[in-house]
Amino acid sequence: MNADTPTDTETDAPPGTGTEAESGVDRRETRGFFGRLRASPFLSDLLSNRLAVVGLSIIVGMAVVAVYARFVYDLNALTQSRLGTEVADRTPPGWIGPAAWNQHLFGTDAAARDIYKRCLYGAWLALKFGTITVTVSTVLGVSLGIIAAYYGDVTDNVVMRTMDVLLAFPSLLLALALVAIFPRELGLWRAVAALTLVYTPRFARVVRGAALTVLEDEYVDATVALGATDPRVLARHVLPNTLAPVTVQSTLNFGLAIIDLAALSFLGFGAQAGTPSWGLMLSRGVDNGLLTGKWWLSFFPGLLLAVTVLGFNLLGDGMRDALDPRMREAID
Amino acid sequence: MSDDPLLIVRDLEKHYPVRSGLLRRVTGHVEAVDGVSFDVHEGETVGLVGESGSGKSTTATTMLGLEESTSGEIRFDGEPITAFDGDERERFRRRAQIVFQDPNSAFDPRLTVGESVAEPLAIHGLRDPDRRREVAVDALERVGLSAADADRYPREFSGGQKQRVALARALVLDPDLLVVDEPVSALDVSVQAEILSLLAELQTDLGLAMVLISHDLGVVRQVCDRVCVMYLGEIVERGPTDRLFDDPQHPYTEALLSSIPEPDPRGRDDADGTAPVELTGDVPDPSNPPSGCSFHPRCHRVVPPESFAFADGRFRRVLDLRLAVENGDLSPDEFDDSSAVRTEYGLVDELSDADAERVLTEAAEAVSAGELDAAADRLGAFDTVCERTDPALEPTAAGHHAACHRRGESVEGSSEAE
Repeated sequence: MNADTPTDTETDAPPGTGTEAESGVDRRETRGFFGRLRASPFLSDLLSNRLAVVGLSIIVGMAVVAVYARFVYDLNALTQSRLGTEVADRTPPGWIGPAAWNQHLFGTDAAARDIYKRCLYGAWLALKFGTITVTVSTVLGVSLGIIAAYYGDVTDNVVMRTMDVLLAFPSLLLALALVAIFPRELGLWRAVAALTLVYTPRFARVVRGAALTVLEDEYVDATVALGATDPRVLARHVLPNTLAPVTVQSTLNFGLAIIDLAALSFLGFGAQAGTPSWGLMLSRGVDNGLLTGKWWLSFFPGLLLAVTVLGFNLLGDGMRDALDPRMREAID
Repeated sequence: MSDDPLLIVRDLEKHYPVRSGLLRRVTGHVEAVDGVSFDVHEGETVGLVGESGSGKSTTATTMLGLEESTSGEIRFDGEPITAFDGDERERFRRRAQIVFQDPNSAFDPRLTVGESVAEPLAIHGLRDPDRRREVAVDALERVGLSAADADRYPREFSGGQKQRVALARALVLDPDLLVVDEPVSALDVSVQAEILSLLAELQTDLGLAMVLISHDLGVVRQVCDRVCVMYLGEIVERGPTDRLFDDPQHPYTEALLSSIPEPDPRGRDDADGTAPVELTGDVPDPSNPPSGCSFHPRCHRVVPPESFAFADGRFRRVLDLRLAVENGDLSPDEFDDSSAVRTEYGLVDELSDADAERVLTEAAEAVSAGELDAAADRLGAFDTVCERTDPALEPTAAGHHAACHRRGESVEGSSEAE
């Protein structure tokens, strides 16, 4: 043995004595999901990104509006035509017309319905159906991706080539083709089903790539060598370590899901007539008033749609940067 | 130390299929481990050394059952590991641990090191999380870290500290056998010594049997009781560390030893007139190993044919020329005349043996004339026992085992020497 080597001297500085605030991290704080989140640099990186904070604020704001509209307004009242009542159709917003400024803030549509209320309720519909679409396709995609990566070989080929076929079509075109499979009475649900199938391959691909990288790491081998079973390795090590890219993909896809749902409604393959969905309002507004200068029919739903999607995209970009600082440096 | 070895490895082979073509058909095999035998006793450290690609790591993963062996026998505590059922396998996983090479990817980045070190306990059925933590903290303290480190994440540690944590995780189940794969090759030199002394200390304290894998003979010399030198999936020399280092019997070991840098250049072996050995050529392709002794294309002590007399070292150059001609590694256009050929291969002076000189002259002329086949025919006269037969691992005069044809002075009955 090398007797003159001092065994008790670490040449490296002991961990945590540096500049990091982490040296003060209490034991309990690093336990549980939120404790971990707070201990990791992800959250502080994300919150120091101004655009991401703007995106997050937009989403939170929209969510509040959506829940408010859901519980305060009656969907039937917003759907049924109000022609024949004292309210005139296609009234301009109160603040540009002769009426009181807060009378019909966004004006009324061709069926004399209040566009302001319909727009707020549209936020609820967009977030609800967007969430369902993204959640289901994430779960499906993550399962398929992990299975493909872990079992490899034939399984991998069958799963991923199927995904490749779906990815080969332009997403909206494929969605239109799939919508035709489902009965018309399903309304927005058939758009949700079609888009779920369209988005699943993207998640499968992202997760498969991430899982393959994780499977290369020595800690997977080390855990297997310690005697861990396959399900334990997958659930405790592989899956959690692929969640970061999945979260980014989900957030970015959320914006896309909302815009695609609107697009399908716009084209008449989504929400049924009268439903206060942004896409349908946009489409009716263009037909019923845009050419005659009644811009408010389509402007406000379009504005809310654009702002919401912008929010998700800003947040998604911010999350990606926070998870992978190299990307940020490359852009700056 | 009991008499029965803790781990017995006999004729272990591990072949990987080589697939090629559109249909991915098996077109050949890489013999990563090709007939390896050794024992590990309780409380001793056995070193496996060799260049990269010599099959050291494959030997380790195969003998722990992490990969299935192609053939051969592995016995742990007297029981063949291939026959283990579920429970026995779990017990074996607990008693035999491995520390992998790269401490930087050895831990799940999401878990604190305390959780990582405690994970083996959870896998093997310790349900109480507080108790797990206690045991994990004990293990961390044993490798020179503190209880507070248990709550930090792997990225907060240096390479040397991570290697300590990896050792703690391997030792937390109190194993009997520990395999360490290149424990220090990813570390700074200053940290290497600390980890090595920690390894030696742990081994003495816990009475572990240890298998240390390294390409660095200096590391092996510091820690190991016995050494196996591997080349292309085979053990070429095996013996107690000091005897093997003092009197290497296999030319490959000799070459490896002479590659250890000496702190004092004057302290070099030059006293007895031997220059440092430089190996020529690359490690051969393991999917197409050389015939006979797999080291013969690079060996500086390759045995000359009996029908000719060669001065020291000259046959190596002649053989280089022959192998280059046979493998088509040289193009005749490069050489203007036969003397250019001889210059290229360091054979300017005439060979002392007139017969050999005549063959060489004809061959050199054939090469410069572009007739490689004719040259190969001529040079075919220079064949060596090293390429015909594979030497067995046998006892040598120095008292340990080596696989080389040069052991002319091999002594009968010295097999007890090891």
